Amino acid sequence: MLTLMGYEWKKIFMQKRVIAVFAVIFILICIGQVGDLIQPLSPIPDAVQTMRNNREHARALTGRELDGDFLYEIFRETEGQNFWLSPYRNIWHIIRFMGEVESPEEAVAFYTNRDNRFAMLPEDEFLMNRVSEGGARWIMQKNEQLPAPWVFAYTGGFDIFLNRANTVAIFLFFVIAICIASLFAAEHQTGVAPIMLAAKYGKSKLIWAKIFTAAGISLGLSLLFTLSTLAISLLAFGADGGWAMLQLRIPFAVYSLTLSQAAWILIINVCLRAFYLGALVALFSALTRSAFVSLILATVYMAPATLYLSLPFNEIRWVFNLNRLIIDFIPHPTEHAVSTFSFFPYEIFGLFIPPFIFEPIFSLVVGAGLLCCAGWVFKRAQVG
Amino acid sequence: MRDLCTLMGYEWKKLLLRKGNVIVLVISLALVCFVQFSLLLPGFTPHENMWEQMREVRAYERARAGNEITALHEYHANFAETLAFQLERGRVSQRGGDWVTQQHEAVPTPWIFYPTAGFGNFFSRSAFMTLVIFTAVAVSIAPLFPNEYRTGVAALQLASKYGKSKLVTAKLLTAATFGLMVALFLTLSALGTSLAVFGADGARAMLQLYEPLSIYNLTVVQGAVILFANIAARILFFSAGVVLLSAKLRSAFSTIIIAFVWIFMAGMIFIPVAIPWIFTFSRLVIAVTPDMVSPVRSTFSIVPYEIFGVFVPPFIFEGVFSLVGGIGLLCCAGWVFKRAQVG
Repeated sequence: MLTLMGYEWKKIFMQKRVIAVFAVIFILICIGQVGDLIQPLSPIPDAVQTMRNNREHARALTGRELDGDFLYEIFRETEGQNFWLSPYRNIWHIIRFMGEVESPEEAVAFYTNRDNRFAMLPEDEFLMNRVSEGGARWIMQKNEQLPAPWVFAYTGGFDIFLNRANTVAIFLFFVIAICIASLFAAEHQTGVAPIMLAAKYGKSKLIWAKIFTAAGISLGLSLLFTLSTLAISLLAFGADGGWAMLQLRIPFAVYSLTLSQAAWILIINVCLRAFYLGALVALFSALTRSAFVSLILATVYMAPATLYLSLPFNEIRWVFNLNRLIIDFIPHPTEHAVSTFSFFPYEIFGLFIPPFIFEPIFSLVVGAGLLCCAGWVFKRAQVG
Repeated sequence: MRDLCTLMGYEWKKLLLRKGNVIVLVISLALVCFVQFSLLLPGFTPHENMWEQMREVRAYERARAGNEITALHEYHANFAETLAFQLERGRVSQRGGDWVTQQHEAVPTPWIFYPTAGFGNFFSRSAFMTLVIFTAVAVSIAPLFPNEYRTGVAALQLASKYGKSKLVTAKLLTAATFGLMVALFLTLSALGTSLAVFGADGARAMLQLYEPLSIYNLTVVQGAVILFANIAARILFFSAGVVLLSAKLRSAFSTIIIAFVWIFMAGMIFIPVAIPWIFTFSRLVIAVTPDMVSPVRSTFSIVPYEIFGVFVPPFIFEGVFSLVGGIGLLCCAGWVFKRAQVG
């Protein structure tokens, strides 16, 4: 079995084009993670030194409560300034989380505004289409459990990672689609399939080897991509702030998580979604018997999420939930409505499950099912 | 010449009789026409009664067609602000700034109001339309050369009478004309749908009624024609590139990977550019991709290209650039296929 899997891995990774695309995209992602610091790409002169100065400034303030005085200070110091130069860059978006803030009073009223937003939830027709009465109560209850006031911390490394996670995921899914598109199709295209299906292990172990290869590739590549981008972000911008609340990055989140917990949850989410996508591509590959067509189908499937196209009938609750489960599958950590840390729970038999728990489980189960389907389709293929 | 036409006819047949290509073209056609009015349908927008509202707005606007718009303070202020920003960034030279101002002043005032919803809607959806055209063309012509290798016909073809001359030319011309025809067909269908739904009036309206920051003295119809010409030039460059790749890589799968990277990634990599020559370079790169932000904005951008002291508007320079580059790439592709050693 392991020998067979080894062959499959070799078949995929000995292809020059796969290596080339993989290398280029991996380097692009890594550069993208520190792009703000590289001189011709950065909008500000002397970016590294500025980042260091700002980091020192923010570190000195770490541990301070984010109360009215502090919010006032942040507003005053960032007002009319170049956003990129501000030492509060990582937290600046908090005070303007609901739009432009024009006066210090608005900035200081941050907690009140935020709580009002949640209190108004049952009256908001647009949002209430997406959640039941009970769900809205659950959201408000979760929100009330959050400690206040929040505590400020320098969180540059985690911020960059959470911010870029969806870009990383898009590139990653594309690489996985390229790798897996030829898994079953290549056997049909090269004419090996009839021989394979007649061989000793052809209808049993070989198919399992292929299934495990697809799973291994999607999980392995996604771990490699996400862990290296996390490592690069933390190395370049500083690894401190892991204990800080998730809300410093995503003000609308209602879950009581720290930033490092959030980073790990996001990594697991990306990996399992990659697994689901890999399984889907394997099924395309077995069904269409052409790597070319499989890749086109995979790209078309990913297009709405990549281009942020809004899908129809999204105001109907079950369509909305289905969309974010299978089509809007790029984990966006800063988008409030559709994302891994969205406050809209999934409701199953009266139980409310946050998306960051439900979505990975769904991807795992459905992905495994799709992989078995792909194997079954290949096994039953009539050749000639 | 007649031989060439016959050969091209065969290649066209090969393209159009493939079931996959027909499906792709039909889906593309449905998509580009549907998005023109999708936001009026319930379920595609959170608002209600969009169709009735559109008709009311249209009636309101039609009643006011021909009125003069005199309050243009904000427009002039916006123009000055934008120009100052581009000057400060170094994207426009001082003389370029004078040229831009001169063009801006040549736009006749006061503006005359016409309802332009039909053309405006077409312009707003043009980014998506270009994306669909690019994808359809890439998917259709990527297998053009590789299929000859895959089926083993290439060896025969290259040894045959016309194999290294007319057949190659026929294939290249087929790729180029196919791209152009798809672009023409989908653009006209999109424009037709938009005009049919939103009203075809306003042909005499100035482009500024849709894109207020444009400094060129054009009507919306001229704008639409120029936009089409630009998209056609982009498609020519792109299809030539795809054919070159497919002749070089001999694999439809590898070709489509690079074509997708070309289509999708170019729009995703955002470079906040502060250096003028990198800015010009990235503009030219965007000029041969489906512009994800807005082809209208980049085509009618106020920043001109400066060549030996002459200022050329982007819609002329980028069009000519893609056209010339496309022809160059086509020649390269032919040369690659002729030199191909089989076996």
